Amino acid sequence: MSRTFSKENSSNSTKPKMTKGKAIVVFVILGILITMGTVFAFVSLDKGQLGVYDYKAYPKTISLGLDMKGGVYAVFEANTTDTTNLSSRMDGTKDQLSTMLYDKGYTEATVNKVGDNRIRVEVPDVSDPETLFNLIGTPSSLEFRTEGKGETFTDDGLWVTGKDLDTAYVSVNEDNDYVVALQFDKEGADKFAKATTELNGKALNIWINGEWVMGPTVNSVISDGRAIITSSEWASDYTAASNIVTQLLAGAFDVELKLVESREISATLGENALSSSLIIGGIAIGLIILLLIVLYRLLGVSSGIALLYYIITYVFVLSVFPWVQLTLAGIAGVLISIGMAVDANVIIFSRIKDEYRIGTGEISIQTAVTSGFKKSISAIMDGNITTLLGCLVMYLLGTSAIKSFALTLAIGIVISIFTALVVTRLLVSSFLAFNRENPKLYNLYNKNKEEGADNAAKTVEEVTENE
Amino acid sequence: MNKFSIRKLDLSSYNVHFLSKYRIWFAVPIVVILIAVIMFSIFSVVNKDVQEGMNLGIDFTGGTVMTVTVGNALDEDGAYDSYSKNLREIVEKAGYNVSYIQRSGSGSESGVMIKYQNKDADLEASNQAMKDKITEVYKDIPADDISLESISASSAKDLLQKALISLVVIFAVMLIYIAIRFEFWSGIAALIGLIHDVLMMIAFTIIFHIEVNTTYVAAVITIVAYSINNTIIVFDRIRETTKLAPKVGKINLDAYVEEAVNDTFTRSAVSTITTMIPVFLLGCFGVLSLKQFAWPIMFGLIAGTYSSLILAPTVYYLIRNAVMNAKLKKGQQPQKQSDASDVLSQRKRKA
Repeated sequence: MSRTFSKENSSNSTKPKMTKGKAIVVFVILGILITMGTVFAFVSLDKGQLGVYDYKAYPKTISLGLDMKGGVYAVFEANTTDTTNLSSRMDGTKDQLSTMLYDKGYTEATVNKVGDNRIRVEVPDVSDPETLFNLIGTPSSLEFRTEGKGETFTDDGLWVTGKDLDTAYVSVNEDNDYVVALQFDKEGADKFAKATTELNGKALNIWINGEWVMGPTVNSVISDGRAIITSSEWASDYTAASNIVTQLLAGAFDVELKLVESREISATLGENALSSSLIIGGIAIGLIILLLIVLYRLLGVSSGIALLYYIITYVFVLSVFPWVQLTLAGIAGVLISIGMAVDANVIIFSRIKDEYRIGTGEISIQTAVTSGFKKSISAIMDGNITTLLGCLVMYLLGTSAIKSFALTLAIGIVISIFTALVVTRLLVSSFLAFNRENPKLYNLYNKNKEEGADNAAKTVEEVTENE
Repeated sequence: MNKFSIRKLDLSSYNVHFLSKYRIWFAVPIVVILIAVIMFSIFSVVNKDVQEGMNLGIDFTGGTVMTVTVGNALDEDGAYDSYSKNLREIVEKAGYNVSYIQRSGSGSESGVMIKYQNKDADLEASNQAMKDKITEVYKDIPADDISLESISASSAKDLLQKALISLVVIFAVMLIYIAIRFEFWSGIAALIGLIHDVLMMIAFTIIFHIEVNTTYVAAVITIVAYSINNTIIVFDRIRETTKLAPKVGKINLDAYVEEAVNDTFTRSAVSTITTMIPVFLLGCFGVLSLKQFAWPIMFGLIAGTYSSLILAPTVYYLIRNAVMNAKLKKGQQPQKQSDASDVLSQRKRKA
């Protein structure tokens, strides 16, 4: 049995000690960061007060999910006389709408089928129905035709309809210009190939809801169902290209839809969900810090300060990342992240206590702290990396609520690793700079020191014997 | 010595020999599952529907969305609260389970939107009955301003399916990672712990008949993410202690595993308590939907702690020991075995 205690003690003097001066600098900087973070989290400034820009308290810029914030709902009805497989085609349309809203960043939108021929869409964080239609376009009919603007339709003029369009998206061509890319399904690809053979060099006109939109010239026969539309109108304007894509996609639904009604709606959790959760969160954090201080004293104070720093950084990052949409699931992610951030500290502190307790001879607090941090790294990293991998899978495979959870949790974990291994460590060393002699300040306790050196010597003997 | 000696809490000072009682550790979750199965049957029989065994919410079953348009009057002080409260009472008195209440529209279109589960066979009749009940109380609301529509289950089933797939992939990825960083058997043991957590959460949800909506899926995944972290802390200790063990021959694995668990016990207890604080407060004082969300997480935290500290290490020990014995039997020269208690006493560095 080769358990060596000697090795750990040998690193006694290798760690550069922090001076009181440096420690004060650390406290001041963290103090300023936390104070500023807190102030800017609550205060909003108007142009007049600050002079140049409007400033909105950063947590308020986090976009909220439908369950946290109101939005708009709209009910669409199938606008078709063709009732074959209507129900299953409506299911397809429902999925297309969900996908589309998701792609637009409305991860918390819900789409329900109402009866057999209606679809109900609820979208969060949108202030009025107009915005919703800008988002999903007006579900419509899309046709690729020979006829140009102002010409009357003929039966042979129709080549491809929106039903055959798989997807459309904004892409970039070799000249670095934005282009609108189209992808047809198999049937559509055949039809499109015919159209481009027939109209090579001529215009293939795009009609939406019976209105002419554009007539791009066919440059070559396209037989694989993949085409791009270039135009000087959107070569360098992403928004313009994206608007065209929205219009095209709206025409690609399996069923043509017409709007029946739309209204604003409030949050599903009720108006008070966020504010009451924030109050509860504040109380919880207070209790956690209190518990840590009782258990670990000055180490607990360090982790309390680190926890405040963590929360401010976390909220700030959440507000800066545009993909974050806070939902109920997202709040769970935040809660668990805070739990795990505290956990990283607790792992380190219990390790420091262990190191100090089993330390033999003249174990110093500094040594226990150094080796405590060192030995905790593998546990913290492995634990968090496993959870991060889980987040990655959730983000790739999950539905909107799960994605929201995975994202907030992943962000929380990355910040918590940094906080535990860098910020807490800095703080602990800073406290040590003021007192590295009194173990009681850190609630450390050494078996051997308190129960006599005999015991300690005996343990060491036995251990070395076994090597 | 300090008067308030917190260190008495420090269980790492003790050495609890829990591995030998593995039958009890396996029996506990089995008993919970049995109770859940019994409760499930009772709920199914009482409600004469297998689906009733679990309290599935509107997201899974679909239901009715009712919009009562009140108009400008809703903007008056306290009007919304009183309307929504009364309407909710009317719906609940009629025997339906209200899932969501929201405000809809603005100005003259202002109204209260209520989503509730409706399993009546004749929807038209039940919708008409609901209209009558409301116009009875609110005589100034014309029946035309009350709209009732049946909505399908939202993407809940889809969500559940996707969540299950992601759960399986998450398990696989974690197994691979743990197998690389630790050993294959740790991965298997951790996996069994995770499956236990998910099963326990479902069992508790059935036993307490808690309504399950889309948020439940997020709660389950939350627990998986949290529990694996806890398990790894324990396995990290086992890895650290066994690293120092002799490479060949029979080692006293039980002593290593028990020591690792005892060493990490305080940390796990403190961590779980700090995580439980906000969840518990949300469960007690949060808004209704948050309560429904917090309690499954509470159950999960308890199950997760149990699996991390007791179940996963026990499973690891049993598998690993069996593998080791099989190897020894295969003809490797058994090393001279030292007495277990002897080794333990030598390694005893505390208490």
